[in-house]
Amino acid sequence: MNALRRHRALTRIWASDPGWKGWFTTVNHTDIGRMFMLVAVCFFVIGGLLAMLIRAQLATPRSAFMGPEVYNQVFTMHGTIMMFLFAIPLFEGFTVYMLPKLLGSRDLAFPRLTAYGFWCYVFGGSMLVFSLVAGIAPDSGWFMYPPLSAKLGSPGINTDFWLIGITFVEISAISAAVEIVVSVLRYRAPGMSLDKMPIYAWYALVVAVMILTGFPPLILGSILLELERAFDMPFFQVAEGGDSLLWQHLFWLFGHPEVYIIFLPAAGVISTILPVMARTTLLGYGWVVAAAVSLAVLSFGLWVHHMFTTGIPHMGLAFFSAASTLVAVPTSIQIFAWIGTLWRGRPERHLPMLWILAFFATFVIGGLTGVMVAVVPFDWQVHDTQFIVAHLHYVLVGGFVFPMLAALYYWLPNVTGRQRFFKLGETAFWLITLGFHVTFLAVHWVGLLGMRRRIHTYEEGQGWEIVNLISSIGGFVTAIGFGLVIIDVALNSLVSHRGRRNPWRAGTLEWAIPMPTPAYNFASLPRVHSRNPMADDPMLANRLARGEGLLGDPGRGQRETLVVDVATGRPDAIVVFPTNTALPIVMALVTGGLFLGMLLKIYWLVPLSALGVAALVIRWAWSLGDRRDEGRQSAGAGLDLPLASQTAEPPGWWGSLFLLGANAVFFGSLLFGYAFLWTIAPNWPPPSYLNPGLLGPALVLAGMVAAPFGAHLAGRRVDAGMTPYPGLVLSLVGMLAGISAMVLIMASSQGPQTHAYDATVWVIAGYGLFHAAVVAGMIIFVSARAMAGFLSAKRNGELRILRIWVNYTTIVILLGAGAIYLPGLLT
Amino acid sequence: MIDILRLALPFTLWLAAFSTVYGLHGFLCATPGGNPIMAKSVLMIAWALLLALQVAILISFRSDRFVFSSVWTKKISVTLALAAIIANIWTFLPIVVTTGCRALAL
Repeated sequence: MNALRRHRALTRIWASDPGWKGWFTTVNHTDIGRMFMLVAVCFFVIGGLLAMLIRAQLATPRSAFMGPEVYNQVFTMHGTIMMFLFAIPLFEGFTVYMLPKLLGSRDLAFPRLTAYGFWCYVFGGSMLVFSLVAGIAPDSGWFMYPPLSAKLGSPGINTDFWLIGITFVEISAISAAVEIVVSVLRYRAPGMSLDKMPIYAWYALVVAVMILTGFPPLILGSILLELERAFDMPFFQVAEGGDSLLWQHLFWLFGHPEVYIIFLPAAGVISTILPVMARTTLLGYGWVVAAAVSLAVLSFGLWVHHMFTTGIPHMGLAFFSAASTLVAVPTSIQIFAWIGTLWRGRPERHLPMLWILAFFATFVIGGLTGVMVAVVPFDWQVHDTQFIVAHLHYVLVGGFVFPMLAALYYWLPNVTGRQRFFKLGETAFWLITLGFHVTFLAVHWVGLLGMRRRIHTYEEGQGWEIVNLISSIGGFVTAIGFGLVIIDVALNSLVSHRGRRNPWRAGTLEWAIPMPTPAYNFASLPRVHSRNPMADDPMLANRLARGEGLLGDPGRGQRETLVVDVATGRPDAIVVFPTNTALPIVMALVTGGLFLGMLLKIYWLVPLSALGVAALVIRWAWSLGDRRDEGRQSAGAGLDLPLASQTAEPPGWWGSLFLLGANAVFFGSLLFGYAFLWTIAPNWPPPSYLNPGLLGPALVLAGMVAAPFGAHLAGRRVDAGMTPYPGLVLSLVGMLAGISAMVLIMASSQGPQTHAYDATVWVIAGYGLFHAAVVAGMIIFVSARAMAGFLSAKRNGELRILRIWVNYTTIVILLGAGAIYLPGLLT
Repeated sequence: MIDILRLALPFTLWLAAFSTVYGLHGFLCATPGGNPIMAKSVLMIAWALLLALQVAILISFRSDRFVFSSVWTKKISVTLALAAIIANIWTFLPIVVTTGCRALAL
């Protein structure tokens, strides 16, 4: 089979449905990645327009351009859109698009999940934008502090849009994160051991783990605040034992890692592009990996530096000040690695390189002001002033937007297959860079002169007028620059002439495929021996097109790729992907019904939508697997491998593992919140603690012995060629006991409106109840799968997945019940 | 996967230690009738134990007992273990140089 026939055959297998239908049924990462990035850019434009409104308002004193109510919505939505609907989704979209190509794979781990996450983003983001257009947008600042955002301070629906809309969008982030982790660990080209991964893959892995650990505290906080607003459960009301500082802890536990989640992908982009621009390889690859890992984890220890003015004891302030200064070290290691790479190379001044130079200048300034505000007495002077606004824009625009513009111009030939002809990009570069610095240097200055943030106007005579006017002029210059970028990219994408493959002569695998990318990425999968496979073998692209790699025979008519050993990159199994389907968008719509029901207080819609989601999940999962044991399959080049679905750790097991990791962080945050309220909040103890009695603890203990034992027994029986039913029944009985125990707790406690303790008891019991119910459903599902012939000693992946869910639920019910019963036992 | 976990272990332990010490500090200061000098002593003992644990991890990574899949992953793991020890010392230094439970006046 020649290259052209192979291309046509693979395209038939992998292509999305033609026409409009393809937009809604595609599960192809290239298509979804493009859509993701396009939507993110649309949100950037909306956020940018809001920025222009802000600068128009602040250009002159006593401005009547916007009243305070409108201004509050504008600046809140500017921050919310930029942080949640632009920055993170652009990283997700870029990674969804590019990661499989960089790794030498044909798709991400869970294609339908990619699509589901995308549609949740679109629907959740649309919800928020609708609120803006309708004039009922959130208006309490992008970090929504109670009591301002509680029912008393914000009685309208505005805040609910934020809490519910953002939680909806976060499904997309969690989905993408699970996919990215599993894809980086397993879905790589054969031979691509950990030390041969492209550097961006390390950054993507680290960021994805950060999303899984950083987003759950915010999801929890959003749920608690919405429960308080909708049902008067007083988590943040001091009079009833709550504490508004709990929101700040939960928010910033998310919020600080969030800014590194935004910066690190950009650092990955720079680590990829800069060596190519300098015609060399990255200096200190190992050091950069170590710096990325340490920066990622260190970022979780800084959160209280956003709360230096809340009256925390001296020692606590010093802990976080020390950690905040320390974080400059791994950041600097990366910067010095980049400078060293430039030093030893021969930098060429192409447009991506110009954006990287702009990044250096801007991000370093932002980093220096960051070290300044890490020093507590200085922070006390500038907290809540425009100085902080300037700092955050320097690090976020300098540290994310500029590198992503470099990425845009670097990879544009790969995406479009065209060579850049129109040169508006250079003009745009100067307008944006100069305009940005004029804007935000001025904002630093006016902050030091005492101008506070989030004020809709100011009086004359404070020395702020000319500075703000200059800043606003700079802002409009910047906006014109971004407009030119959009025009430049559109022209070059649609009108420019075709270019040659690999115009940058880069060494990474995404340049080994035809441009624009075909639906299948690689006609056959490469074996990799170094970090720069294209440099090792300049004819690699041609050889892969001729089918000389692995999985080059499309004869089975399936969407196939390989999974490899995590550390060594040794090929382990063949994965068969699902084909085009509307299931993800339908499920996202039904999920939207659930969120809409909560937002509009149409509460009957919530359980109905939940049942709809459950039905669709069953439909989704039922389509996987086989009814018989398949032997090893040929992967080409004399290599035979098993199917991944028939191995001990199928992809779904890995996905469940990391999803449960995120879930565990959520539960840990809940226990943290409980401990925080118990020890720190005023107005404790509550009127009464729950009396455990005997029945509740007995149900918990009996159930949480039966459930995991039953699941283990089911697995052992299947391995021995017997039926799993006795074990599954025992496990189900255990879960039902757990459900009963949680219901008993809720029935025996005071109402959740009574005190923060009772509200927390309800949430912990509700969490246990939800998980026990889900696992009970999973047990019934696996039983049905066993009856239909999907389980065998070789095909026991589903049971292994069930076991980790059972074990997780057992642990949380035990810990949760213990936390609930403990005060009653102690008193 | 073991290699990935070893790469993540040193700083994850630092984070757990940091959160534990911060939480312990909050708990000790919130306990009615608490003695600031005793609180500081408890924190210093906790610090010493956690630092010893980090050093133990570094020693175990350097030993031949635990096999890494490659020289590269061993090198990076050892580097991270060393960096985590430095992070531990720097970020817990406030225990000895600051006051126990007093908040500073703004």
